[in-house]
Amino acid sequence: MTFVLTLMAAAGASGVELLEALAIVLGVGVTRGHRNALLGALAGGLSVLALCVVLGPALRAGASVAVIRVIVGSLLLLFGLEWLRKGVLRVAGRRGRASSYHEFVEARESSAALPNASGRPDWAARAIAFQGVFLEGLEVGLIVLALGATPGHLVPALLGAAVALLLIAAAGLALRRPLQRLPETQIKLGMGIALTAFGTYFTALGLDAHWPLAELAPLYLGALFALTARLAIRRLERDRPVAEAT
Amino acid sequence: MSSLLWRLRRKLLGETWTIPLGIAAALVLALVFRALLSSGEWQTMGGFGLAAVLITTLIRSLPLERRRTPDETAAAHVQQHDPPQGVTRCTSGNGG
Repeated sequence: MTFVLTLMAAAGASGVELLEALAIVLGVGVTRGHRNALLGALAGGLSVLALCVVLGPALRAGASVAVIRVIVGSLLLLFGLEWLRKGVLRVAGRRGRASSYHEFVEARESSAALPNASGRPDWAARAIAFQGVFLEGLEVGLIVLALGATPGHLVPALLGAAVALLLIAAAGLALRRPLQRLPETQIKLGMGIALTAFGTYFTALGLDAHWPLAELAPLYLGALFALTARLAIRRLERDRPVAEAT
Repeated sequence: MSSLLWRLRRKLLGETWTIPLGIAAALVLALVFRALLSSGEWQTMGGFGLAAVLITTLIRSLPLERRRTPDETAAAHVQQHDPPQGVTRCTSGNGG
C-alpha cells in the first residue's frame, strides 16, 4: 500500500513540476530554436541530477533513520504546505489559476524580446531554458529524494518520477494544446495535500510518535488536510471582498 | 544571477515566511512536548498534535478575514458603487 501511495505522490508532484519546465522549454524552442532550448534544458537537468547524486548519499550518510525522517518530513512539509496554500487561494478565486500554458506564453515572450544571436550560440535562450529546468527540476529532485530517503521508499519514488518524466515527454511531443486543457489548479492542490500528509507522517515518525493504522496514516492525514482546505476555500469564497466578488 | 537566487529562495521556502516559521515552530513544540509528556502519551498523541500545529500554520498563511458586520457590508457596498476620488477598485486579489 505504501509502495503505491509513494509512487503516486512522486509521480503526481514530479509531473506538475516537469510540466512547467516543459512549458518553458517549449516557449524558448518555438522562438529561439529547439536546439538552443534543448541544450539549456539538458544542462539544467544534468545540474539537478548532479546535485541529487551529491545530496542523496549525504542525506543518508551517518544519520539515523529518525533524523532522516524528520529532515525528509520537514522538506515535504515545506513544499506541501506551500502548494496547499496556493491551491486554496486559486480555487477560492483569490489568485490566478495555475497554468503551464501561461508559463509557455511568458517564456515565448521573454525569448522573443532577446537580441538576435545570428550565427553565434544563443546563450540567452539557453540560459532561460536552463533556469526553468533547473528550478522546476530541483523541486522534483528534492521531493523524490525526500520521498525515497526512508527505507523501502526509494524504488517507488524513482519509479513515480520516471513515469511522470515519460508522460510529460509524451505530452511535449503533442505540443501545446494539452497545456491549456489540464486542470492544473486541482492537480496541484491534490499534490499539496499528498505531500503535506506524507510530511506530517514522516516527521511524527521521526520524533517517535505512533500513528493508528500505521502505514495507512497518510490516507486519513490526507483526508484531514483536504477537509481543512475545503473549509478554508469556502471561508475565502464567502468573505471575498465585495469589489472582487462582483 | 540575483534573479535566479531570488527564485530559488521562493522555490525552496515559498512566498511567505509563515510556512517555514510554522514548520520550525511545530518541530520545536514537538520536541518540548516529547520531553514533557510520558513516552506512552507522546506516542499516542504526538502525531495529532503535530498535525494540529501544521493545520494552524496553513490557516495563518491564508488571508482569512473575520466576517463583516451588516454595517461594514453596507459601507463596503456604498464604497464600491461610489468610490472616493483617487481610489480605484481592487480587482487583483491579494497580489500573492
